[in-house]
Amino acid sequence: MRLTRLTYRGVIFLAYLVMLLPVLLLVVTSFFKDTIITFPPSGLSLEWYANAIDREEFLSGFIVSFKVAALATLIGVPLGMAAALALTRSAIRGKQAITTFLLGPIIVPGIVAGTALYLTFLVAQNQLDMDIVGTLPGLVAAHILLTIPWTVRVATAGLQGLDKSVEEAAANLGARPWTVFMRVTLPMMRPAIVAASMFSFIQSFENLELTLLLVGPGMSTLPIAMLNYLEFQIDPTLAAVATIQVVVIAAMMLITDRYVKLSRIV
Amino acid sequence: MKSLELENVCKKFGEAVAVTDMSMHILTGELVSLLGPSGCGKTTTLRMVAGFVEPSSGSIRINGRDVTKLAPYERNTALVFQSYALFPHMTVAQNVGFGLEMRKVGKAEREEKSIEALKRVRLDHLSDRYPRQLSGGQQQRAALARGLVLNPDIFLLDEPLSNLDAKLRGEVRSEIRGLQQSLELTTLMVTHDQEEALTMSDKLVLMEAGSVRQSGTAQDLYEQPADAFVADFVGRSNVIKGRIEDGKFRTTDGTFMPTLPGAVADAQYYTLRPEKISLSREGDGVEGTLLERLYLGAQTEYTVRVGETSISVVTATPGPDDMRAGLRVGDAVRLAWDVASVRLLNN
Repeated sequence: MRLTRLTYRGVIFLAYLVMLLPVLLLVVTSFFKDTIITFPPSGLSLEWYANAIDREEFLSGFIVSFKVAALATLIGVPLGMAAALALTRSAIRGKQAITTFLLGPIIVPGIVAGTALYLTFLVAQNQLDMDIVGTLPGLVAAHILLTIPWTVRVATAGLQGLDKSVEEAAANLGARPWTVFMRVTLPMMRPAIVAASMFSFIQSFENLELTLLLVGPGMSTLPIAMLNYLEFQIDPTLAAVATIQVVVIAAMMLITDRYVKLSRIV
Repeated sequence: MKSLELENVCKKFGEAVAVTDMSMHILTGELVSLLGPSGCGKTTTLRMVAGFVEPSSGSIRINGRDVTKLAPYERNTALVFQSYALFPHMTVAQNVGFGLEMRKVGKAEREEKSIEALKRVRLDHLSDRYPRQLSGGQQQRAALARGLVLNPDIFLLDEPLSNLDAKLRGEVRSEIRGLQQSLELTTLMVTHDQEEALTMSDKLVLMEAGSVRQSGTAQDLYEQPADAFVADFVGRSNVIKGRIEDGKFRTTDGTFMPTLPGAVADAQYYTLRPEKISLSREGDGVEGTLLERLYLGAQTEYTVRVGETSISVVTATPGPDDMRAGLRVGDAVRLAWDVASVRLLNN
């Protein structure tokens, strides 16, 4: 009995270790003094953080990533929620096919989808005589292809548990369809909406493959700025940037968790 | 005066017939139960009255007004759902006030009426709680108050006791019935539980496979069942198949059963309540073998094999001096009953 419990705890500990070790190492090395990572370090310093903040490409990359993720979430989540609601509620034919279609963008490898988008954008640019590749609208449009499927994926599960009779009760008490939606359906969907928004934002914020061909001068996202930096240098600046990113995302998660228990949805 | 009338209401879902030719009439202050096994169409009927399902044909009138085509929010019915369906993000008071808010009642009056309704169900002390903080019984009382507060034309109850544990059930049963009678609520209740229906209703409508098999008071259905299905569904019955030969009922395995003279010639079922049969070790009566004895406390239930037929007998548990106290499985027994309590049915 005691042995099985110990084994159980051991396995859980190992699982956490495997998941968190790379992140922990990243955080630790960001404080190392040496340019080339050595162990043990010759000393600790904050110079890489200073370097990260000094370098213009990281700050502008962060701002672009934040804008793109926020806009793509703001547009994609309502659309994805509407789709998820329709897919869980109504008796439309070919539900399975529609679901697969909507999840498509995250099933297709990102680099393939990115290439396809790049070619499409080029054609569109010629036809419309306007810039799309390397612009904010172009990036947002591309990232909506990430936020819609993630919303559908996260929200469908959440909406399936939603008791339809609660909405019927509202109608029975005299609420018209729009009132039912605003006063009952939407508040009940709140946990699913929050979870979907979180996932969508993070997926967009950290995306690399889909975005790779779509950025342009002065319009690059943080992951791509990091990749570019990595091509020429291997000092711990990237570890510092990544640590800041981890802290920001963790803070977002914690704040969200205060309002909606994430563990209840995911 | 309040009333609910259904006239030749039918509902088909595609090819499947859910309800056929349903007619009934409920008057002010009456509680009528729709009783039947699952899938008999009773819930569909209730949902048609509430407006969630549109009848394929026929009409529904509430207080004489035709509501057949009206949306749920255009009818003044109050449905208490089986799952209670309270709004999880609103407090008990907000739940109860919701219907009044939809009717544009001012805040002060809304609060006053909500508290009054909650007092009726003894829940006023929990008005600030959220539904998830209430027990099952309390949730149900909140759901009742949410309907009561609107003074609805028709009160609709969907399996009101099914989600409560056995101990609470009897209590809630009399509480709902008491409330219904003191407020003279015109009520339609759906249930699959015959005990619930028998004890709570003024009138019962027994349904099977989408149509009404019999309607009337609990006594009518119990004592004058129209067919073998009713006889077995309301209370319990021994239903023995056979036919009339030479003026007497002969079971399919050939046993002649005591029959009153002048029995209807086309009778196919011999029905007899288990509690109308007396069982003894010897004496007059039909001979049989004891197959099973179930001790239920105050009562004992015996299963006796007569020819090829099993007959259930329910008697008060015999005292220690009674000859039947020592009966064992396999013993020969005699069954006797008053022929007048037999009902011969032809379907």
